[in-house]
Amino acid sequence: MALRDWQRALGRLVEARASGRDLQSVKDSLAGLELRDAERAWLQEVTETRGFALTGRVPRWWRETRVRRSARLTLLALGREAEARIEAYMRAVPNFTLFFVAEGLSFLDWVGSTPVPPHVRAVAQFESAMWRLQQVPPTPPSAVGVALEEPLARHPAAALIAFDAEPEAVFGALLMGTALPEPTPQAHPVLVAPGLPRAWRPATSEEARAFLACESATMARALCALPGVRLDTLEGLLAAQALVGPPRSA
Amino acid sequence: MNDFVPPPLLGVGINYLPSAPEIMRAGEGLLDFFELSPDILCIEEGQGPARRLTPQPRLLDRTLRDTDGRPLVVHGLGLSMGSAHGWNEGYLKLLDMVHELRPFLWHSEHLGFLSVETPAGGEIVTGIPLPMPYTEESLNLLVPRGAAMAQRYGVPFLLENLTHYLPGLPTDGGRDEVAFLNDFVERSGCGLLLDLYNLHCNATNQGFDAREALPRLRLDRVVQIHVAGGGSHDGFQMDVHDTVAPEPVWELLEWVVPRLPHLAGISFEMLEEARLTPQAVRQQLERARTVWDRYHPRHGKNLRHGTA
Repeated sequence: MALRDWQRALGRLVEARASGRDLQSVKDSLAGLELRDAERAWLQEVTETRGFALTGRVPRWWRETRVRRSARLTLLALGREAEARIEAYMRAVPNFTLFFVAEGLSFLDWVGSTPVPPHVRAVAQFESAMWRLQQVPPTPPSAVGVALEEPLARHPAAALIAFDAEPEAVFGALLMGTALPEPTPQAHPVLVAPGLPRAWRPATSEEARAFLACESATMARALCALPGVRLDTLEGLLAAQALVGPPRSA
Repeated sequence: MNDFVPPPLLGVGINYLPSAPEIMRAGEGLLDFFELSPDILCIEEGQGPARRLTPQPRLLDRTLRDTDGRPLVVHGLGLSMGSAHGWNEGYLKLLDMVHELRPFLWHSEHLGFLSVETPAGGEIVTGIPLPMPYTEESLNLLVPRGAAMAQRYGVPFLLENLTHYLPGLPTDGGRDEVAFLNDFVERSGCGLLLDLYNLHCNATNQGFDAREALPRLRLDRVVQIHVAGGGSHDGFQMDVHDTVAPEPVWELLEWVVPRLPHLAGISFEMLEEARLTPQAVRQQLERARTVWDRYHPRHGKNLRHGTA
């Protein structure tokens, strides 16, 4: 037996069953593996047993649990589509983790990459941003004064998310189980940043403009050249720790 | 091969759950040690060889604080000890860091594998520990790894018997799990973590007699016992650790403890998802304590936390 090939075959069979994919392609690949005939036969036959079915059910249950716990808002936003989306996600993304947040982020990224009903993409991005924020160690607030010749950069865990309606109305509807608001033509940017009291708040259009322009280190003067952006706009973003300035000596 | 050196007697313990402080408090006065799975303190980033496990600072701080003053042993969940394409290096780095912060008295892992490579050279996680075939090739993989773990941390490494649901695993020369574990400890110098609930599950699901299997095991290498429970599904006894231990597990414990010359600890193992009340957990610990004290009376009185 080549143990590596035997494990590769069994592991892929279990993962395929757990993810709701057809086992046939894995079974077809058995011929090319370094296995004895009896081992090949065992791998073919074991998939018909109740024990194999249970072996596939356990990781499937865990994956569902991880997604349900880590993507609550997004699943609420998906409503009746939620179950089908979880199924589709598991078929599309092979199992790669035992960790709740890693699975949740993967699901949220996947949802964001697929066609979804109104508001869902923004909610998924928001939920993802909130998880990412929790994963960074807290940083002490820095001075919020800014000089024009100072370079500014985005905090690595800060995010700006474009909602299609008032975010409070969207979240309220999700939590109350009522109808989501109709999308509106104007943008509703939401800032997620470590220095905010609840880690998020609606952003002004000027804040959104400055934050988006600050993709890499950018001089404050260049940001202030954007329409409507002033030094106090940048100071607000610094206070929220959405942007960070250079370290200053005490 | 390392020489097997039995660790010091500890007594009764529980797996540490940072998210269940009321459960941890339920063990006040009964607990001699904590069993920590460092994985549960972490977030995971990256995949395959780039996988990184980073402790969440608040969880790590709380864990170090809560477990301070009691001996610590480590029970790995994610090493994937038996993966032929390579074990989880990210877990080892995490363990190195934990060892620096808080030395542990032994480390244990499951007899199984959790990750396999894909044809494209990537890696998938099986999501459930899968059993090893009971073959020479498996031993040739596991024996040096077990010995390396013992050497790396200078404490015993224990291999834990695994629950699985797959019938008729490949084997060399009729070896079963007991014979495989015996060969492993003989060749590696490592010890055993005997999970009595896992044994009960396999006996129930695969139709053998646990009381026949136990006397064949190298009982002189058993360092720790897990006591746990779980529900059933589709006729299978499940390895989920979400209930109190069933009576057959307690009967096995009563039978085996007096036959273990190097037993250092009995721990109750439960999942964070278990809906056990603190009272129910306390009863489990008291029952384990009763068995432990019967065979280690002086130690139980002398070393119980806070009563030195």
